[in-house]
Amino acid sequence: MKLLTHNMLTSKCMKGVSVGYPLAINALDVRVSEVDFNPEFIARMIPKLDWNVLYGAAESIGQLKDLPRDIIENFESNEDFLKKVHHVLMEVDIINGDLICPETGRKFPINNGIPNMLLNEDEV
Amino acid sequence: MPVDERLARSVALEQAYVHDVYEEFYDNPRSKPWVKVEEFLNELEPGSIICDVGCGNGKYLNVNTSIFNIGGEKSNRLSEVAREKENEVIVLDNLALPFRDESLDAVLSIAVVHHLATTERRICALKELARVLRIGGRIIISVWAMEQSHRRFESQDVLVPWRRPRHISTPSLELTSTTTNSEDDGQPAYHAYTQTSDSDSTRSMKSKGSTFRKKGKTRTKGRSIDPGRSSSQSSSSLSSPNETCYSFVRRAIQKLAGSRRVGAHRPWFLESWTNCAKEPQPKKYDLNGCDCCDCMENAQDIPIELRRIDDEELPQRRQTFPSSQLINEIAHLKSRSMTNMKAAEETTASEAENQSNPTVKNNDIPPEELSLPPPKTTLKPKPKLVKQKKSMCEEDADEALDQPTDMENLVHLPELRTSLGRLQRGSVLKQRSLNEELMSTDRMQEKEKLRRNIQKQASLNEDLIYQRSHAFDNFKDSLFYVSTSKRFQLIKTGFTNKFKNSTTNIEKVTGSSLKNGFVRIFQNWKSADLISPTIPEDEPLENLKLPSAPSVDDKKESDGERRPSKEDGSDSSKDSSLQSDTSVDSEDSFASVIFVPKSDPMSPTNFSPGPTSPRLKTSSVPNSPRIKQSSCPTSPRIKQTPLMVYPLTKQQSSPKPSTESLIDKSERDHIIEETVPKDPSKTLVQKYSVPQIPKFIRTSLNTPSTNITPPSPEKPLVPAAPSSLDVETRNERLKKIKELLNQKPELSSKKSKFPIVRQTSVTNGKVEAIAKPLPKLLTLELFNPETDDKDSDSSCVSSPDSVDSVISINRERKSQANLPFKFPATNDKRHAKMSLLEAAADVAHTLDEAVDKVIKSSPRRKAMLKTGDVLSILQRRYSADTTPLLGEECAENWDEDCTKHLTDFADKLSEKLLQEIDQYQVKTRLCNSNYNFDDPYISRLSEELDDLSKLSAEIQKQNEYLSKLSDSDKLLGKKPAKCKPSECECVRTRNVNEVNNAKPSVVDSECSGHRGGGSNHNGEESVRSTSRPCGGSAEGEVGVLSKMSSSTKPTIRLGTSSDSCDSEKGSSTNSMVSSVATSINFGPSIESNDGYSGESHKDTNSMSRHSDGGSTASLNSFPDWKAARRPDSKAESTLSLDSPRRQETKGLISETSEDSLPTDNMGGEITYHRYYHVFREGELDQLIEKYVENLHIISSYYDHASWCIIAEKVHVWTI
Repeated sequence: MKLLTHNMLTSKCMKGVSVGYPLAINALDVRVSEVDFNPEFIARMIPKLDWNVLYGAAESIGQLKDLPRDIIENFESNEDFLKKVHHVLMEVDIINGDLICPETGRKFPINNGIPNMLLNEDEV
Repeated sequence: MPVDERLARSVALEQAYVHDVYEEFYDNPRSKPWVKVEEFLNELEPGSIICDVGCGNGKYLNVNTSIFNIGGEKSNRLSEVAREKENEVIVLDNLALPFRDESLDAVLSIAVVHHLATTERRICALKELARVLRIGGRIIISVWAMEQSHRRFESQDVLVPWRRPRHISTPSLELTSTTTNSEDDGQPAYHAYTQTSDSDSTRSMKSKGSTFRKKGKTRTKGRSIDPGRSSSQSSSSLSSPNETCYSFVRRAIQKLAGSRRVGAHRPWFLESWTNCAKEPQPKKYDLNGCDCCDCMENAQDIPIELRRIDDEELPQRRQTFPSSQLINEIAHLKSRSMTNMKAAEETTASEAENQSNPTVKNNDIPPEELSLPPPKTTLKPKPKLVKQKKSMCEEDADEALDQPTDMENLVHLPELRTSLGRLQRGSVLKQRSLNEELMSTDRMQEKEKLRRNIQKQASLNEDLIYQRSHAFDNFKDSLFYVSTSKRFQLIKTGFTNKFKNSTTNIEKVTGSSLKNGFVRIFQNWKSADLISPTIPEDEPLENLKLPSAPSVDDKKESDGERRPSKEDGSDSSKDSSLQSDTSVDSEDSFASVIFVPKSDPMSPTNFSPGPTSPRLKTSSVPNSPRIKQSSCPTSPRIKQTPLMVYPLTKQQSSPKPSTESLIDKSERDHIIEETVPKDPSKTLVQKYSVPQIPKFIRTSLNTPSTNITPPSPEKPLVPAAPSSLDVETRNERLKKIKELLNQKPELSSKKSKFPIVRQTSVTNGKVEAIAKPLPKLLTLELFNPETDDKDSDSSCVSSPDSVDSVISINRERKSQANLPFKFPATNDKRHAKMSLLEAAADVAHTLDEAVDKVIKSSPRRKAMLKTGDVLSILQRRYSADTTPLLGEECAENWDEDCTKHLTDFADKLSEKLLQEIDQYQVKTRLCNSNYNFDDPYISRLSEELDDLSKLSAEIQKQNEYLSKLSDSDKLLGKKPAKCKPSECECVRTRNVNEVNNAKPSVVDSECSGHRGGGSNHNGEESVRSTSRPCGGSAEGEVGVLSKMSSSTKPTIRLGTSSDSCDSEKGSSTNSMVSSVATSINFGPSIESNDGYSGESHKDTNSMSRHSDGGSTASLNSFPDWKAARRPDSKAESTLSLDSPRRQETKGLISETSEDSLPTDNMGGEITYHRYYHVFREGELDQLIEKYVENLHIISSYYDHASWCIIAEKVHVWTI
């Protein structure tokens, strides 16, 4: 699971959960693989992100590198920044671990890079 | 219905018929992204974040790499598949998407919403999809359409059978697609539902209310969907202009399915919709819920029933009835696959014809069995409703695959799949596919037969309804109710008629192949005879003479050549029994039926390797099931079911005893009379013409009878009227036994001679000359197994035509050659007159050695051991011969204590079995290491090994029991003990023979099974191909082992039975118990340890699911077993004459065997059912418009049998 995906995930569908975002990450196995860098893609992606959540997630798994705390100005033209974002968004892959609902502590296991977000009948 | 319950039901339905099925989903490489969806994806601006909810194997996740694709899938397995392609995948539920609100730029929902069971849930899913979509984001939704050009749904909620997609290359598909689908697919999707159109429709809905349906029709007409299709839910227009050749079949099926559904099915959908439209949304929602309930009920009731049916009645699932029907219809269609199918069926029929020609009772019976397969096909329609649904589903399933070409494929596929799908494979993969198909068909047929047995009465009516061939009906009836001889006669007549009918067809198609195979078999036999003419001459001639005297059957059999030979070999007792009382005949008939199938199946199995071989297999398989059925009708007892597995074993075991004691009686009757005619100077021609094996048996029987029992003249009567003569026979037996005991030295010597003979014969084909001396009982016994084996071998030999069987054929041929030698040897042995104990010891040694050799040989086979196989066989025999010598020595010491000898023998057997098992395990391990076995297969092997170990333990127990019995016998007198050893010897000899024979046959069958599995798993074929030989050998070994165990068991039984004879009253009960125990043992040996049919079923089922190949292999092996055991069963029948109680047990056994057979059948393919709620035109649009207000439909079109909508999320308030 990439952090970009994590940036979209929530547990708000659970019963009793109002926001369920962001999900905490308990990463047991993180794999960093090189992915082709597409500046345009990253630049377009950044506005869609919850930067704080991304930053926190990257920090929680030790992949923050030199990612700035805040989005810099004119990031579209700052290839260095885009590469950092690219690394965090696209190259960091959580293979095994858990996603934890911030409100209920419910754990969503990540196995083989696939987060299992299924809920039990009584959790919906 | 409470909301909770409804929800729970819907959830359960979806879980069972959607999620569970997709967990088994087979990644279909053929499925390609739909063009429309690709366009949708490519139109997205770069950097978009999209989620494909229900991504399946992730085929849409790589279409546009400039966007971030997230695949959402609920199936863990599919998500893994998608993940392997380096996609970002999340396991999620469409009803609770784990995404933030408005976080995605686009959402795909391809073929997902239609899997939700209620409108409520569908709406919820749509709302959830809209929730995660950002404002301005787009969503594409596709759902299966009810209005499909090539299938018509009677209900919107359907369970679509789905088999693992097979890669069927049907060139014709395109044609059909163009013709039928051209309108829908070929033309650009009509945006039927722009908002305007939708609004219009809604208006019309509101205004007209109930007229929605009419409107729908009009729409469809206007829109290039066949009016016929869309218009009629319940009423299928039989004569629709657009029908393809397949369509009528489909329609017929639908009709059948629809007729039932229609009754309960009402236009609820329309009403609900109209109501919804009129009423405010909240109420509408409720109403929809109610509708949903109806839908649910409809869907649930039918689906659930289907599922149950499937579980209970696997046959339906596997080869859904449509296939069976289709076969006939398809036959008309001129496709290769069709021809293949017909050819296969015809081959069976042709065989039946050939056999039937003799028109003797015995002959007739076999033909019946043979012919049964075709009737089965006809019978299949019975389960119509379910089947039809399945067929419908199958078609749907194909489409459901979301394959762009699905429509086209679907048109062809439904038909092809149902009937020919497998066949088509066969054309591609020729042999494999044929085998698989045949197997599956056979299994299906068997299952159906079982059903019939259960439902006995209904079958007739159904048959009439379907109006299949009358002959078939007769057959069916007769088969089902075989209990009486009358029915047999009817069956015979029916078979003859059928054969006449079928022969014409069969002859046209595949008669040549079958004939060739038969001819070859005959030639082989002849060659074998020639090889060992000296021995056969004396006795065979006598036998020939005798058979003629006892009954025309023998002559007829001889005329029939193949069958007669087969039948003769094992049927000598059968004939007598058949001729005897009708009551007895029922059992006998069973036995005979069983026996006949053996020969046929054996030959077919042997042939099976080639394309023809699969047919043979099928025929053989059906025969076994038929046999089961026949036996079942006679013994519908519930007890039988638990014993099911046992029946086979029982039969075998019983036959053995029968061969021992019964043979004496019945055979003596025939033989004794005939023995007089024995003249060494008999004409070779007669021998040749008549099946040699049977001759040997007869002769041997004759000799024993003469030697042992003077009362034999009475005995012959007994076989004719066993029921009346039972007591007499028993008395006679007792007398005989006593005499034997008195004569122990002689008898023992005789018995010992036989084993000795084998050795000599096996080792020395020359001994044949010595064989001239009168063959004794022992020889008879030996001959029976051998003859059986020979039959199988001969059949195998004939099979060389089939490519696959070539190896096996060679083996078989060699074995055959060996067999003839053995016969003479047996004669020599007779002269030598070994002590019974010695003989028993020898037999045990031979058995052990044979097993060892088999095990050894199996690896050889794996390594392309045609020559090696032959050598191994020869070695086995030699070893057996040599070993007996050792045993003789030991036996000499033991002569005094027969009981001890028996116990020791049993111990040895058990030990050897254990050792063999160990060796086998080691070998299997090696094989596994060497070859990449599929895990399921390995697990299966391990299970089998465990079973074998259990069997060995059981055998030991039995040995103990025997020892106890022997002790008791001692008290009674040494006589029983002697009888036991003789029986043991017989059994052992049989075991040896069976082992030898069974090994090749089993291996072949298993190989075929593996092939089938391989074909099922196209991707895995290569792996399996490597593993096949190993697996086949391993299984063959297992089978051998199990046979060994079974054989040992029967011997035990025999001992008990003999005891029972001595003390008729109590002993009979004991024998019953023992027989049951033995049968139980067999059951476990066959399938798994437990004689617990239920477990075995489960095992088989699970096995089949896990590894189709494995299951098929097991199934294949079973028929062989059956065939091998059939002679035994015959012997059992003879025994039954002696003791009515035994007959009962036998009947039970037979029933149990029948049950076990179905279980075996269970191993075939599994058809999964997926739940669909097929959407009517505009239904999805309305759902979105009514309940998902923030989605604005941009376009709506029909594509790939689906209603597709592209919508954009908007601010509701802005509108």
